[in-house]
Amino acid sequence: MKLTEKIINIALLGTSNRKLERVDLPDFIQSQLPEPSENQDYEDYFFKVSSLTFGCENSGLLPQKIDSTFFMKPFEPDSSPYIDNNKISLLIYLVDSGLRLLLNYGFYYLRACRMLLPPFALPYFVARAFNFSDKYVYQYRLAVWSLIGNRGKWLVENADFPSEKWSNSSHSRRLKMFVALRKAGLNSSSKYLSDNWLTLSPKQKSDFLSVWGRVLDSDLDFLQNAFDTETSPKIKQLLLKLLLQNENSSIVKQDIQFLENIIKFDGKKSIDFSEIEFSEDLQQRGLSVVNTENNNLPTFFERLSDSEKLVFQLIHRMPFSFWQKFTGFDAKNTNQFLLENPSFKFGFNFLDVIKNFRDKNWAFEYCKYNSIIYQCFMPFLDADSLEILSEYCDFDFDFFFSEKLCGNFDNFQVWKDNFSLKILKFIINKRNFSNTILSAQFAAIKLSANMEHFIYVYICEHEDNDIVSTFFRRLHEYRKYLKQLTA
Amino acid sequence: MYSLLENISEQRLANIIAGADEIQARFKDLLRNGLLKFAQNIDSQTDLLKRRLIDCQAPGLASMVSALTKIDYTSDIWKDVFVSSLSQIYMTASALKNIQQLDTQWQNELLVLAGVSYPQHQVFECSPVTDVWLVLAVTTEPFNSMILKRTWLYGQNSKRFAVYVQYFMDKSRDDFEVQIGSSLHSSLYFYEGIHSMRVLFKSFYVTNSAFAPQAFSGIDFALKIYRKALTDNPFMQVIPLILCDVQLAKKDGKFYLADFNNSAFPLMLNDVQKLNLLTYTCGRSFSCFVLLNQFYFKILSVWADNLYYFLDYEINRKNN
Repeated sequence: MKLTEKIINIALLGTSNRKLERVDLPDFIQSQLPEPSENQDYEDYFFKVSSLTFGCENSGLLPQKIDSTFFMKPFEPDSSPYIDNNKISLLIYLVDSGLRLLLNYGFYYLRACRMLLPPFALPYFVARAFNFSDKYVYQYRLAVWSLIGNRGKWLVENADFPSEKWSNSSHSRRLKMFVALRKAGLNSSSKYLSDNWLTLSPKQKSDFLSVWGRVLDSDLDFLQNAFDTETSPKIKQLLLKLLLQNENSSIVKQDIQFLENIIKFDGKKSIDFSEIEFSEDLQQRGLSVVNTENNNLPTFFERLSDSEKLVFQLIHRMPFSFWQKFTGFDAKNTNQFLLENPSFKFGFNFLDVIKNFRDKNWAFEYCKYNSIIYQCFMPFLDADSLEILSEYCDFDFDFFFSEKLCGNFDNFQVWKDNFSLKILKFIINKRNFSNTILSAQFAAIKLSANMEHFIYVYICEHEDNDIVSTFFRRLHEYRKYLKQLTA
Repeated sequence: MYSLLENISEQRLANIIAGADEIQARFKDLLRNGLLKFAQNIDSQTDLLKRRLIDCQAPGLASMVSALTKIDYTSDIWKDVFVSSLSQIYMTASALKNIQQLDTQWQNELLVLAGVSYPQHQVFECSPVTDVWLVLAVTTEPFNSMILKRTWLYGQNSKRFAVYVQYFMDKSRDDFEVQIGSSLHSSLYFYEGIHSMRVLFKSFYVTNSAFAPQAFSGIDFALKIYRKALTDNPFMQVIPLILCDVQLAKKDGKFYLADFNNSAFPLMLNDVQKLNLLTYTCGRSFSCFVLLNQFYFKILSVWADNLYYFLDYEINRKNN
């Protein structure tokens, strides 16, 4: 043991019961300090020994010798251009101000331009990608990852950030990671779940299924396998609900095949259904003749016969492509047929079906027919459709966009002029927001670039501090930021 | 040679000695019971002593005690740093009590350590060193209820290090704001002392002539300079140096500064410095301005990719 270690040990534990043995001291220290007498202040003597010893160690200080395993491999230099200083300053401002939607848009835009964060900005942005107090940390990390280049990735690898693997993370952390992966549309998300799905509790399974979002084709194998092996009725119902959102799932395909065998159409208006008997096969596909807490069927369901109950459920599982093939009509006439056919008058809710499949073509026809733009269709109706609908449709919503809705949009596609103007007039009339800061960011991204004059005039004519004026001022400010980011 | 001892009041000297007595008594008491308890409650344990030392007109001693709270108690060398620091403070207090027996040079060193300042007029009587000075780094830290700011400088021709020390109540009173990496032309007046670096100046102007300072290669050489400086003045707390052809090395989460002969020495880095250092050097060799002590190197700035970076800036935009 080194002498300093002995000194340290005694010092930390105390000299009341421990003393340094004189034989432990080197000769030159012994020669400098006479042996302490009984009356001598031992602590004073100890500090002198300690100072001398550390001093001696200092005067012979040598470097350590290391081997090649200590050295870090240099990174591969980047070749992409760097984002300029003004944009970096703005991105930092957006981070510090919590303007998350604008920041996401900024990252998306710069990613599309194939630009990278310059070296001086990397520590700032990379450090925030490991800030676990931020509930959106994983979404942020995914968004910023493609902007950090090889230098940034080298930094993450060597900076000893907290190690996070799916396998050793808590459930709440895994849930956050999962949400971020789903939003980014990454195929790996269901793979992470499939590795330990069987070990999860029903509550944990329910948590993951509740945040699934869009069901991609790559999710179907996992979901089908989980559905086939699940024993909890509640979880099975959640899995079924997800599988029914994708018309390529085997359940939907089987339902289509089944319905094709029992449904008859005379080519004009009349539809007939053959009698169906409830079978185990239908039961295994999640169909029921009993209203339970898990299947959420309407109350009038009980008055129907078993066959009618089964037909009711099958109709609500059919995608638009089935009806178009079945009727042979174009999209407009297929929609009209469904909404006007007597067989589907009572209790059928095609709005929910359209929402389920996120079918933009069907949504467009449905809105046009009813002269209403439904808020629940907004996330997947494209800008061209909305522009056409804005000519003669009203909105069915009372307030401008919740956080859930803002986070559910498929892309950053900008709305066109007529629709943008309609939205602004709606905002002025309704004067109702769920969150002006979030709504203003969202509107700033989505509104047509030609709305500047309208926004500016409104601000000039309304200098008061009511909620709409505040919204418009924020909107104007945020659009300036976006212009700076995309310049 | 100017004698601080002859020029301070008897009352002040008596107060400083009383402060030294206080340190000795307190530390001996803590040693008897074990310093571990002291370390576990370091903030509360040092607070009263610091205030007492300020009352004794020994702010330098108070600063040394305050430095105990800045030790990284999560590092694996905290015990060495802690016990060594305590021993050094104790010996400084002991030396102060024997000050009358020492020669003028050591009397001055000790009184400066205790916090006695040379009068400004005295400093300005020394011959100045006129040079172009590179601003290497600027550090700030809280000191009692003030801000203590150090601006580190390096002379192009004199090859000397200098440090300009300021104390102010708030940042708005800072009348010396210079950009790190810039060069100033000035005549600096060095305080007396062994390897003294502290300076005053009367005026300066910013030049456009940025220059690369002389740098030394090799960790062995760096430690040789350290050992020599310590031999001359064992009270020196840090030794500044500029090193070139060094690399970052890492093992088991600990960082080292290494050279091409595989000699290495531990680095002390906070999170911001670590990220900056990794970002700018990326596994390649670089030059740096470091402060050495017996336990670790502390890198304040690096030269990499022909640019100069100060490691404590979260964003180094201004220096690009």
